[in-house]
Amino acid sequence: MISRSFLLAASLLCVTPCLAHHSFAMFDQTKTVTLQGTVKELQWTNPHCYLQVLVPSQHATAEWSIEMHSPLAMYRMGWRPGSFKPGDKVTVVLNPLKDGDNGGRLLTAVDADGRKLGTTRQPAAGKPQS
Amino acid sequence: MIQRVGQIVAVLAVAGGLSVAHAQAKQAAADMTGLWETETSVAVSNGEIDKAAANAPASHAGPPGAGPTPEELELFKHVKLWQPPPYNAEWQRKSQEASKHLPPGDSTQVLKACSTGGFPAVMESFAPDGMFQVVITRAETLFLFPDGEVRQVYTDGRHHPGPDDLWPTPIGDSIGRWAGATLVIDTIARKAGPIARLPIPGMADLSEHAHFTERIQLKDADTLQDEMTIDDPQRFSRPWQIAIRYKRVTDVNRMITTNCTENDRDQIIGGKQTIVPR
Repeated sequence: MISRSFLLAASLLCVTPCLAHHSFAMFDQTKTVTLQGTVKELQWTNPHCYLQVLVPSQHATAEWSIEMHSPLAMYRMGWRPGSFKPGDKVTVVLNPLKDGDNGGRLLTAVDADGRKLGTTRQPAAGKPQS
Repeated sequence: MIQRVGQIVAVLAVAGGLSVAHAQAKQAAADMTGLWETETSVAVSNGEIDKAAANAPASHAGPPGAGPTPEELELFKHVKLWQPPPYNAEWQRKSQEASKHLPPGDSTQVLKACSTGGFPAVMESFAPDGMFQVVITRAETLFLFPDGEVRQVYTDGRHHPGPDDLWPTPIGDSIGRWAGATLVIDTIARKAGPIARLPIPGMADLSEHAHFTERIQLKDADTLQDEMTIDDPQRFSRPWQIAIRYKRVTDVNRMITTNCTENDRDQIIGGKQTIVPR
C-alpha cells in the first residue's frame, strides 16, 4: 500500500510524460495554450529540444520557448533535426510556464501542410530507423 | 565388447546433449545483446499512462495541486523501485518522519538532477529516452546507457575486490556468471543513499552494505527480465524482491546519447524554475 504522504512527495517531482532531468512543476498541466506563429529555430539539443516560435500580436511579436524531450526521445517520436525550419508556419499546443513567461512544454506541433508531430511515440513502422 | 561400445555411445550422447544445451544457452545469452527499454518507458512514450489515467476512477484525482495527479498514480503502479521497501522498524520510523516535512502539494519544487542515475535506478528508467544497450563478451557483460553511464559486470570468474581495494560508488561493483541462459549478477559497494535519482521521502534509502542479486534472462525473443533481490540488513526487515521487464527496441538501431549540459535552459531564477533564452 502506497501511503498518501509518499505519493504527495513523489507528485512534486515528476509528471507524465516525465524526464529524469528535472521536476515539471514549472509547467501548468491543467492548462493548454494554442499558438500560431513562425518557427525561428528548432534547437535539436540535450537535455531538451526547443522549438522557438515567433508569435505575432496586435502590438508586437513575442518569442516563445517550447520545451520537448531529448533528441533520442524526439527521434523515436518521429521528429528529425529538420522537422521544422526557420520561417515555417506552425501551430503549437502546449502547457504554459506557471511563471507567465513565454514558454511551455510542447504537446503537438502542426505545420502549414497539416503534418502533425507530437510528444507521444507512434507505432513502430516495422523497420529500424538509423 | 558390445557393452563397452554401448558405454562409449552413451557418454557421447550425454556429451552431445550437454553440448547442444550449452550451445542453446550461449545462443539465448547472445540474444540478449542489443537495445532495451523498460516496459514503463514504452507505456510513457506511447501515451498509455495518460490514457489509463484518463480512464481511472475519479476518486484517484484530487484538486489541482493538492496531491498526485491521475497520471502520477498510474506511473507509480509501474515503477518497481519506487515502491516502499520492507524497512525495519527504525527506518520505517525515519521514513515516516521525513514524510512529515514535505513541502505543500503545489510547491514549485525545483529539483534538478544532472548526475547519472547510478545503480539500481539506472536499471529502471521510465523516461522516453531511457533505453540501454547490452554488450556481451567472454569476460564481461556491459550495460551502456545514453547518458554515458556504463555498468560493467565481470564474468571472468573474478571475485569482488578486497576491502582495501574497494570503496562505494554510485554504480557499485558487479561480478556475474552465466547459469545456462541466465546472467546472475552480484553487486556490492553501492554508495549509500536514496534509490531515486531525484530523492523522494518514502522511497528506498539504502546503506552502503546493500547487497544486490540479479537474475537476468529472456522471457521471449523481445522481452528481458531482471529479477532483483536487494538485501540491506541494516535497514530492511527482509530481502526486497522486484522484477523489472524490458522490451526490445526496434525502431532505432543505434545508441543516441543524452546529456544535461549541452543546452540546459531550465534554470532556477528567484527560487523558481523557468526556461531562459538561449
